[in-house]
Amino acid sequence: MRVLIAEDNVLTRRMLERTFERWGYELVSTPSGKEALDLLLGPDPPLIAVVDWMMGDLDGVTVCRRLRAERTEPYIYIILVTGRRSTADIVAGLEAGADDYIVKPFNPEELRVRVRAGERIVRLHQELVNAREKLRLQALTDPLTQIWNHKAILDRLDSEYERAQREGIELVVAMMDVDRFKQINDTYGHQVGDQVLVETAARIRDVLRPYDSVGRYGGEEFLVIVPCQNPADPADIGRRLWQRIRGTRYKLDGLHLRVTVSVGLSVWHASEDIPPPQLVQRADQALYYVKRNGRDNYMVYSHMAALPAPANAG
Amino acid sequence: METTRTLLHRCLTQVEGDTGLLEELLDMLPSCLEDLMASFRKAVVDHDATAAHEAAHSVKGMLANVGFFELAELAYEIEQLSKASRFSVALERMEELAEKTNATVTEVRKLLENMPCGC
Ligand SMILES: [Mg+2]
Repeated sequence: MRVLIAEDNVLTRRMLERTFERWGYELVSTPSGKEALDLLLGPDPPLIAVVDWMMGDLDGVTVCRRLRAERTEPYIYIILVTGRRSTADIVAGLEAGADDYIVKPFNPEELRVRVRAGERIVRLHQELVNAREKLRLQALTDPLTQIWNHKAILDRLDSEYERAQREGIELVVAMMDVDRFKQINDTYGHQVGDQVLVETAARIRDVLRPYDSVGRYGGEEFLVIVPCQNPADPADIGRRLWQRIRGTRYKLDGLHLRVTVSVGLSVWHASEDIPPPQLVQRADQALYYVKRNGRDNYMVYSHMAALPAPANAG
Repeated sequence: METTRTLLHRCLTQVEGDTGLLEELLDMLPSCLEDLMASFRKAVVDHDATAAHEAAHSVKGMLANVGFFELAELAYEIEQLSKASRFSVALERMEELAEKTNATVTEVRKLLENMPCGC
């Protein structure tokens, strides 16, 4: 664990440095309160700070107060080092956001156990943050395919839509459906059906860039969001998605399955007044068109108008 | 007054028996003290009670951390005198303190050098 030492007296600082080195800590040390604050507010800060109360440029209590006001994570455990012994001073230090204090002359053994207590708190806090982050991701992820779930992908669409509006870029939305999925399930069983979904999600991701999004919209339905810096070519996106699935057979548990998808796409051009739900609806209508016309194909919503009405078959 | 041997023992406690560190700190002490003395003298000339008090406070902390508790007590008195703007007495005491500190450093050093291994 990395420890910051802020102490303006060169001798005391040297003593603290050597002591912490002996204890096996990685160290950053400075004679300046200002520099200490910069380090604690900067990237990858030390998680334990031993801060002198009286320093020429910025005192330890101010360092505590400003750090607490400006940064909540990661949690930094602060031990104030003070020559003051009055209760009022100690209360002031703790109220400013210090976690603990030690009075000069510090007893090294006491300092050591106080630092260890700090380490425990910092570790616990890190574990909590990690667990919370894991839960947050879990709540947004489809457990089977490990892509966004229904709610998460719609949230992504809202935020991507806002960003596209801000930046004046275009947005392509694709709705994809695995053809005759019920038949796959009925023929090979649900486990194979699940694997088909996992493999389909993986193949969709292959086609996409890191900043595109894909989510499991429903049972065998996927929603894809592609922001486009250049004028969008939805047919090209549709073709690549469609081709990536049907191009090679799925190798699952000794089976070589031919899987195809139907893809419907819609586009949002900058300054158009089409809200996200309508973009999804349009992609869905294009998908419906493909389904009605023999599946295993892709269609862009705006191209549908130019085509003859779909055959009345299912 | 405590013996130099007792004092050495406490100094070693402060550095958890790290004799190398203690030697280094004793080497640093006179010049660190001189720097603080210079700030103190300037504060006295300026009749700046705050600056004088702060310099004395730093001297006190430094001496105490090394284990020189009795000398730190003297520094504390100087801190109080400075706070009360009793500059001439404070300065006199500070000069005495510096002398005593340097003498103590020399004594502790000598004892440390002659210390049998594993003390
Ligand atoms: Mg200080």
